[in-house]
Amino acid sequence: MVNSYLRLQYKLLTRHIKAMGLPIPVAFLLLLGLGYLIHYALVQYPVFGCYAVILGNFQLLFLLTEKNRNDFLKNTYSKREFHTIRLWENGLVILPSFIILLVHNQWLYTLLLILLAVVFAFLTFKTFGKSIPTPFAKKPFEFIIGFRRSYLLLLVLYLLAGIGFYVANPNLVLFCIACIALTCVFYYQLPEPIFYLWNDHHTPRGFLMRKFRRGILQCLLVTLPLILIYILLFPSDLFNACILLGGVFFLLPFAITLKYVAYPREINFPEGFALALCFSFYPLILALLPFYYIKAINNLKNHL
Amino acid sequence: MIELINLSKSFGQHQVLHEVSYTFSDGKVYGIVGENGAGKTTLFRCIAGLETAIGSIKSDLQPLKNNLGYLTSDPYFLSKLTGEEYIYLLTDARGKKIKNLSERNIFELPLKEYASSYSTGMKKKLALTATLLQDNSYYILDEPFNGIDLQSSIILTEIILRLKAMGKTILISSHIFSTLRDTCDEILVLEAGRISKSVKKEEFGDFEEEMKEQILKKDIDKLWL
Repeated sequence: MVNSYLRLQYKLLTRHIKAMGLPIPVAFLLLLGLGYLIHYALVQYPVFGCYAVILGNFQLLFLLTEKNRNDFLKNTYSKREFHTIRLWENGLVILPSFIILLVHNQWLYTLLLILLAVVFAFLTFKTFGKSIPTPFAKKPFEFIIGFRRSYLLLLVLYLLAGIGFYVANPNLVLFCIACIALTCVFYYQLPEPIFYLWNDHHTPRGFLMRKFRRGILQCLLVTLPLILIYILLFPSDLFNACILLGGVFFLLPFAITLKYVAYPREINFPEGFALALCFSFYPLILALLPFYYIKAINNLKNHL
Repeated sequence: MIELINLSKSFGQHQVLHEVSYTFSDGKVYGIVGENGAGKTTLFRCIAGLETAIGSIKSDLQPLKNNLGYLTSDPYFLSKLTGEEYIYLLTDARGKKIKNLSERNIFELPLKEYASSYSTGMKKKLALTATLLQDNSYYILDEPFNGIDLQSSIILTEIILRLKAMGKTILISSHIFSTLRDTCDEILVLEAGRISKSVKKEEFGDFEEEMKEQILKKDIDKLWL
């Protein structure tokens, strides 16, 4: 039972990779490349690198606890099989990070990772009341859905930032703000149904501009409390915060633009690669944004 | 007014619509009937501009799509989006500001709950509410009565009649003849992608009898040998 379920999941994963236009061996090579990048980041920034690895895995494990998905598994399999499947899933998800942390002798974080995988295998998150409240009620939909999918990660980041304030560590706070803003960038990976776009009365340019405006405002709404306290407590580090936020606020419109370059499909390898490239070297956005913006406008003309 | 001129649509080798021409006037309700696969939904999607087609579509208000409310037969809702947020999404997309939403929730939907968890009928009512709140001039309602309860069906009939009185143009597809009889001014029969017949309101009774006779003779006899 468990074996066939996991085989099916593998089949689904390979289909998803093929749908992205990638041959399976290339996808595995890319995964190795990503592993090497994480390894390199850990060499450069051992502490924040470990934090990032743990937080990334935390969000992935949290996504696997989605209620409907778990209800389906509970209905289909016995209790024992359900927990075995969940343990296997979580184990496979953390495996690459587990190996990397082990290579770096980060025993404490390796242990924390295992603990998270086990705990999340036995957790199902119920909604607060009828739905999870968000501060974006009248401005759907990316931030609303994204917020509901990552609220636990945001909570952890806020807590971590709180510790950063408490121990007077501006770098830790800055790291948390960056992680929150980057989480917001990922909210735009979900393409809406064509019908939603068809409904919109804006021109492609007006549509994109509104998305940019709202994206930046909503991202500010999530990060502003931390930014304000940061400026108040660490005024000498204001420049660093500005650089970081400036970068993120360019990255967000860039991610939105890429979404509508790829639309109606999800962001695939070419767009993902461009995003990763710009993420590692922000100024590149200035060169690439106009090119992709025109592509997105042309693509949107087919749908708006 | 919406005017279709020689509208044709193919999917690969399969031609779904064959030079459909028709003029839909303001303040009238048109019923589109036809067997499954006759091309009703494709016709609607072409009018809405969701499918590209050969031929042309003219309308008084341009662009047509920005003045058209389209209720699809199977509305899709993103997960983790509440009913209320869905309504705001659709009305905001048309630049409409909605006040007192709870008062305008005539179908008494649980708007604070996730729309994806609604029943089929509730989903339809939510999509309909959002489409109506957009305040369009033209409406396409694809199977609006499917899956909704009797009370809502009565409300929907009244809504359609009121929209008609307001001078809106409405196209409805339905397999429930009584709903078409109560709402439509004209029924168009779509057969293999062609409008084979246009029936005026005064001829509805004869048309229903004729249809019953044809269908029962053709199919039920076969079943019982």
